[in-house]
Amino acid sequence: MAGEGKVVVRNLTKIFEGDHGTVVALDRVSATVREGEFLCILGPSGCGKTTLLRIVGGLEKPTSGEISISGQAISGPGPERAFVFQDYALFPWKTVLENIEFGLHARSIPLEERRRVSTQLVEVMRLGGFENAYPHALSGGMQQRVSIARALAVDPGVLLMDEPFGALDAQTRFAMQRELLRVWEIYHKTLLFVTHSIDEALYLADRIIMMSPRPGRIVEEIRVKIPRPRSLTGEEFMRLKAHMLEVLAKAETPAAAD
Amino acid sequence: MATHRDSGGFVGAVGAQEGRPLPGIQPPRRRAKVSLHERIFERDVLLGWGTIAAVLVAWEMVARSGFLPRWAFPSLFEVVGAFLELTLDKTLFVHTGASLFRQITGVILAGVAGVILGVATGISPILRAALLPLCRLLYPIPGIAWIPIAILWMGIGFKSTVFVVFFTGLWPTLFNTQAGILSLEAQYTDVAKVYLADRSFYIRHVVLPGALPFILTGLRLTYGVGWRVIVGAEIISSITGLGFMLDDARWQLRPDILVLGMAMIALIGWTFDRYLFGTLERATLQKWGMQSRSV
Repeated sequence: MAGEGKVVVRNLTKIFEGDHGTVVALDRVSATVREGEFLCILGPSGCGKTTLLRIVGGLEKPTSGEISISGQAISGPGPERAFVFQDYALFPWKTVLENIEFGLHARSIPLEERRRVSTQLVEVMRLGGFENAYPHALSGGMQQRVSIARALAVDPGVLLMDEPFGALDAQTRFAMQRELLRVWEIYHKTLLFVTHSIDEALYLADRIIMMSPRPGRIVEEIRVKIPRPRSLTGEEFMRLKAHMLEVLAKAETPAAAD
Repeated sequence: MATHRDSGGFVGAVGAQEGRPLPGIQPPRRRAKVSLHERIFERDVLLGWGTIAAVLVAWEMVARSGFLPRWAFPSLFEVVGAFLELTLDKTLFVHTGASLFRQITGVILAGVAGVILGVATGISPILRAALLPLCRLLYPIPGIAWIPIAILWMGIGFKSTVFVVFFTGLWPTLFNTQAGILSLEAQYTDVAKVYLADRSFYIRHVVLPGALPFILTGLRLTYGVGWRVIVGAEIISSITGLGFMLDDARWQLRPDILVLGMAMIALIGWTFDRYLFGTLERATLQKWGMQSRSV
């Protein structure tokens, strides 16, 4: 079992029962993520990609289907997973260091050890000089660095990122993508990264899962073998991008018909 | 011509008069460090104090005009005289101290209970369902209406007054704390779950600081309504305190002491509101960027 993948998702279905009827957010989704792999989940809004990530993170329960991490079935949040949110979700009442240490503090790790970990991450995430600043004083990019540092602090095997750079301007976003690759190469976490940007997925991922909405399904899987650092205008990059645009256009057709 | 002397070379062309550049065009010099914000603040402070001074002057004019009998409308100088008299014989300290002690005891009890009940009903739907109807039923009872039963149960004095302050002051903190928790961003709770915070850690590190803007507003109101009701309670059920002092002054036909008591109540209430709660807000909410200005 353990040999088959770090994260295994089998036949995952999620149905939301709302006031306006039921919505099938995920329809029998199956996927396997290898240890140390950088996987992007790509799709338009409403395709269930965030729901999939939240279920893997233990923040939501699936209607049916199962998930295992390192061969262990999971049913809620666990110490081997950390989550980075789109809106950073930092605590305004905690300093940069205290925010980074949140997970360690919650696990009753003594202050001295917490400080050692957070100080090191401040260096890795290039937050030096802002250790005692409160989040409101930081830019969006800096806040997301803190949020990533908070996730890395608990030393998770699997890092889940929900459109982490979606709220940033284009330049900061590109800088953060490079930063993320740099950090990923240091720690080599298994990474599940949700995005709606084809460029972002192609720039970052080892493999891309493409999803279509209503009901949320996996429509295509793409292995990206371009060596890093990748050029956004390279031949292979452009070829894959054209293919992915085609897949997305095709996936939208049935939805447009109803 | 001296026109250009202070003008930096171009203001004179707009028509500044002999050595007196037009206001507003002159580049700032002496007041360069004072921002527009600070100037508006200064203006507002002057306006506020000006109105208070005008009311005091009007009061004094009415008192001296003879339209109203002296036994009902004391001159401000008589009030100051009463202040000196009661300070010298220490009765002012005794009464103020008694009121403050009851108030602080009642407010602390109401604040602690209000935060605990607010957190409990805020995070637990079951406790909310169980307790909220009772709270809503008790809430409309005015503080004064608790006084007779408080006297019946605890007699006249400290305990019954604190009891009344408690039951009046409980609600603002309780309902505000609860509202603060219910409006807490869902993401904060997600973060707590992801990083495996247990319930106690979640309450201490997420819920309480997250709801603090509401909690502080609640405590502020608790303090305010407590202070309002304490005087009523003391008039009816006490032989010390500022409320008793007011009532006693009425019996003795001493309007100067009456007005002095009212002034003490106003000043103490204002001081706590401004310095205690203002300081708390600056040390927390403003530092964290959760509130931009003190009220």
